[in-house]
Amino acid sequence: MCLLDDDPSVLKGLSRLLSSVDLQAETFRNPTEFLCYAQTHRPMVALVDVCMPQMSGLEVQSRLRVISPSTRVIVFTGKDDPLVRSTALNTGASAFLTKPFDDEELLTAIRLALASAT
Amino acid sequence: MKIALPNCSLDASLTNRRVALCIVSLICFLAGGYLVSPYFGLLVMVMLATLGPLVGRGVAVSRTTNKVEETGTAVQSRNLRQVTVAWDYRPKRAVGRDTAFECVGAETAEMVSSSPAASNENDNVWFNFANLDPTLDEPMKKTRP
Repeated sequence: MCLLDDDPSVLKGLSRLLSSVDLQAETFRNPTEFLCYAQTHRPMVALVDVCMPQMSGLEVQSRLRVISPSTRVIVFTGKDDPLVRSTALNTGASAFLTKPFDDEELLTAIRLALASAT
Repeated sequence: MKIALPNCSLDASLTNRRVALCIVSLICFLAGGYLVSPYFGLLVMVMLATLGPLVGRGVAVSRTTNKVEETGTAVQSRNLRQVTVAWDYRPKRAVGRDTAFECVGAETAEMVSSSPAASNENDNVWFNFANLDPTLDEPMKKTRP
């Protein structure tokens, strides 16, 4: 699975959380690099932040849908916007999380996404 | 791990002692003024001349003490260990599929009418159970079967 966030501390924390439950994750700070990686590797699940300077998470999600349709996308953000949330969910996101969220909540969303991907 | 808490008892006792001293001084002045009532006017002038600078000095000292206490608290808070970096990862409870279905609030009901999503009690996690295929153009309208 892949993690995409412009904040390195978030990536570090999420990587540690995922590695604690034996989930390996590739971390990306740049959406373009992530999309290139996704085009070749087709990850099962991608955790995507909404607010990023280069490209928004919703745009990444829409591009990912074309590049790798099988990839389940979990969108998370620090600002809960109902419009962003409904857009993300209606365009195929498996889950939408607003920070701060519990690790169990995130792991539940990841497990559901993995279950639906397999 | 022991957490060092600010020790405020000494400062509080000093403040109480200062207040008590002021009250006792005021009572003594009033009693003295009553006893020497013919010279009450003169005594009031002396009392004001004496108490005015003292009160001003007391206010200045108390303000300085408060600033020092605030600075000490700020330094202590900076020195405390930062537990959360980005957000709190501590688990509060497990959120399962059934839990998400059972805890449908008003906002959730609004969202369910337009999207196949359900959230937990905190309304910070929204699951899209109906979206089994991300390439679906028309998502299901109902969450529950």
